[in-house]
Amino acid sequence: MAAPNKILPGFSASMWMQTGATPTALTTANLSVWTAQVATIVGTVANGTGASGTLLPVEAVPAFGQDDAVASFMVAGSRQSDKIPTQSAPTSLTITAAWNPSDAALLLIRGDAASGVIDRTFVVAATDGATTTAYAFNGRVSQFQIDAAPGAEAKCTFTVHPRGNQYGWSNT
Amino acid sequence: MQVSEAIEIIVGTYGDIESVARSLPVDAAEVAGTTAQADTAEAVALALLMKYNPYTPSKTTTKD
Repeated sequence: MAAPNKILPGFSASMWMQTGATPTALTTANLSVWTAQVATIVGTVANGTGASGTLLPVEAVPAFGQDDAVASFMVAGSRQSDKIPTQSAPTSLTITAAWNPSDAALLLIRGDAASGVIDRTFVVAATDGATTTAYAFNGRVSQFQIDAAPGAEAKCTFTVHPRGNQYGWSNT
Repeated sequence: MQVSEAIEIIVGTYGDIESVARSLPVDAAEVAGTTAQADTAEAVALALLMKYNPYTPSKTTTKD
C-alpha cells in the first residue's frame, strides 16, 4: 500500500464516515484512491466533496494503527531468539463525542452498534487547508454508551473496530 | 490469467490486497506493459501486481 506522498507542515484532523443506514463500504483498493472514492466521504472543509459522507463529531481523533503481537522462536545454543510479528490486529478506536440525539452521524453510529454487522468506511483526514492526507478504513461499531450525568454535558462513547487489512492512504 | 482479470479481482476484494496480488498467476511481461490512470483502484492493483511480478527484459546479444 502506497504511503502518502505529501508532507503537511501543520494540520488539523477530522473524522468522517459514510452516510446511509446500510452503506456499501469501499473495497480495499479503493480505500487508497482519493478521487471519486475517499473524497466523496470527506467534506468540503477538508477538500473532499462530501457527497456520501458526514463529519463524525469526535472530541479527539483517536490513535489508529496496529496492535502488534510477536512470536518468539528460540534456537538451542543461540544467544538471541527471533521475534516475528504475528496476529497484528488493527487498533480499535474508542471515541467520545458530545451526545446530541439530533446528530445524524451519531444516530447512524448508534444504529451500527445495535446491529453489529454494518461495515462502514471511516476516514481520518488531516489538512493544512490546501492539501489533505486521508487514512480510510472499514470498520464496525460496538459498545455505544450514553453518559447523561447531570453535572456535565451528555457524552456518548463508542468503539470502532476496523476490519483486518481494509485500510488505505490517499491524498489530494 | 490475464492482467485485466487479475486487476478486476484485486479491485473488487475486501480482503488483503497484498496477499491476493501475490497469489494471482500473471505474466510479468504483460504486467509491465499494462498502464492505468493514476489515483484509481486499477492503478493500486497494477502497482501490487508489478511488485510481486517484477519484469526483467532478457538481454539480446548479437554475434558478428
